[in-house]
Amino acid sequence: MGSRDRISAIVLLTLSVMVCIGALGYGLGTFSTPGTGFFPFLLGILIGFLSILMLAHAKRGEEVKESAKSPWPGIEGRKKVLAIVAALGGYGFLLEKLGYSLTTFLLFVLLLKGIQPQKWYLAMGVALLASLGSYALFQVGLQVELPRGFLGM
Amino acid sequence: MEMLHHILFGFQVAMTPANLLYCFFGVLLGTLIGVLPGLGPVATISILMPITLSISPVSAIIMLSGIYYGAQYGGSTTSILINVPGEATSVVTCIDGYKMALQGRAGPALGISAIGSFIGGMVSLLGVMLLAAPLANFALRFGPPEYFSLIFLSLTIVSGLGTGSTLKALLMAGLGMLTGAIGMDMSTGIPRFTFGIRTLYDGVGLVPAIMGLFGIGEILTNIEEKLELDIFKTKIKRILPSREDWVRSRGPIGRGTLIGFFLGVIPGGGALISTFASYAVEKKISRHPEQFGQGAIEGVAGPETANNAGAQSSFIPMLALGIPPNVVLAVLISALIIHGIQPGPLLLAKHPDLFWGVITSMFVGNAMLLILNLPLVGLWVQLLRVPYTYLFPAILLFCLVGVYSITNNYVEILLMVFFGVVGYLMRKFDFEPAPFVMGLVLSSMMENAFRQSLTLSEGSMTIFFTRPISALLMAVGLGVLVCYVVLGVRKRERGAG
Repeated sequence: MGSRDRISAIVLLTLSVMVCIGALGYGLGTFSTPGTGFFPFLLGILIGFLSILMLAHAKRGEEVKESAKSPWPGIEGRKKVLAIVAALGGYGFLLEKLGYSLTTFLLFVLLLKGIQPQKWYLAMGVALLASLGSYALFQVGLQVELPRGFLGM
Repeated sequence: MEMLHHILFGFQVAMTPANLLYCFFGVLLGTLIGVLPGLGPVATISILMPITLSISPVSAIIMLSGIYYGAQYGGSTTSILINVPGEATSVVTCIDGYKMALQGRAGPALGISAIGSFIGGMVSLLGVMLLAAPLANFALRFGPPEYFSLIFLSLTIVSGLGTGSTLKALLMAGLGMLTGAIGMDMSTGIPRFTFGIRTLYDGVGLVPAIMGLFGIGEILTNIEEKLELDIFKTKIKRILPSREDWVRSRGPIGRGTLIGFFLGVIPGGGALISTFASYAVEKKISRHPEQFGQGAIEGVAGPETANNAGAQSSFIPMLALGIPPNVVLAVLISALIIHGIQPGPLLLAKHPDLFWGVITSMFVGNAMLLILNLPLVGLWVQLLRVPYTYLFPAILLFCLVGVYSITNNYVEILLMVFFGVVGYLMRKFDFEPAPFVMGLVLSSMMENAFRQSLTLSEGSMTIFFTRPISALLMAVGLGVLVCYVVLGVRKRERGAG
């Protein structure tokens, strides 16, 4: 599919233009005292040049690579991917508010029920075991400082 | 006899009870995560990195290195028993290793992998011992222009060694360098491309980027389909290879050692390439090439030897130049930095205990691994019976805690998730994350070298071509680029005709 390459080339080309504009804003300096924007500007030019080359390849309908190693998933797969991304993002936002054990418990319940549904008692049990066990391992055993939240752990 | 003196000194460091224990812990953990598909040395080293802050840097690096080469031993186990590579460097082992297991010869396949890995690792370490110190001393003469040219050369080679398109790899290297430029500009104090996010002032951390791109990205790709591992249900009888196996494996182990050693030094995951190279060579020179793919022990012995030889020799550029030849060693370098040790050619002079202690500890570690692996194979197999449904949340949790624990900042988690999505999209659009990470790692080093060079030359770009060492490195780098173009054009012509 040349079209996938075309999409990524256009995205990268747009990015490179934005980087160059941003770099100009930081100031290029002179050759003997390169400024803050000098190196990013050069990188922007490089990425722009390479993505134009890639666009040219894709235009000719050539495969830069023979076939997709991992094609797009079906609707079911997409849901799973989105669910995990959302769960991980949520974990990041909630971790310091709810504390480690509770957030980890919620994450496990979500992942065990949401991705490949397990029975409730199994999901809850494993989640409880995982959050307490990992707390013991990380906080008590390895002395990692984990956020405590209102449960105190 | 100066070398002997250094080696003895190294053993004095490595053989203290504490360091022996850390070494043992490292290789044991390395084997464990090597066996588990999806949890690799990068994530493990990242998680343990902050924890090692409480122990001495020498012990820390000894343990973290053990995780890396231990994983090379463990990776083959899953390849042979369930046809799923535990590590990327064991992909080739699946071909003949799994066939051997199906024929009831899982024992000798596992045995010869461990023995081959041991021989390859030990011989390669001798090379590390002989070469690392002279190279470090030589590199003391390097100024900013030499470093710039060396990094340029590294990045061009990295881009060509991937399995996909060179053009895309170069793009990824560029994008990685750009990501590395995010954060406060060291010489002016101006924040670049931080979008007002405070955490980004210190730059994009290597750990969230790597764990996102590799750890999370991999899981997102795996989760689309139901992944249940089919475990090979058989008793493993006699691990020791037969006399015939020995005779057939001698050559592949010898050649695998050489291939692994030389390719491991080259930037861009040389250990991985060496497994493919070794397999190809053995098949080519074999008198029975038709047996390859049908359970030929040569196809297990060669690549498994090569990957461990490569893992060891990749320490040469890391210890001597401060330039990581692959992603795992990049993380190891950031571990050095966290411990307040500046990687580079001065490492040898300033921290000889670390330099020689780490190298000699790897002799000890390899011996431990040989003893660990043969009798414990059965135990590792049991581990694989944990279903993926329960395994992947655990791997995700390790990544989350690992990222968080480095700075105790939740923004790092969000950053990792972001890179996870990027890594997922890269796989979908056929880009490889490895050159990206190499670009990210080398970016600030390259920019500093570039700016200092230009200041030195008062703005003249010719400085990279007038100093002999720099000129040579540049010439080779440009030559590599020309090769890519020529090969690309030739491929296209063949495609058209």
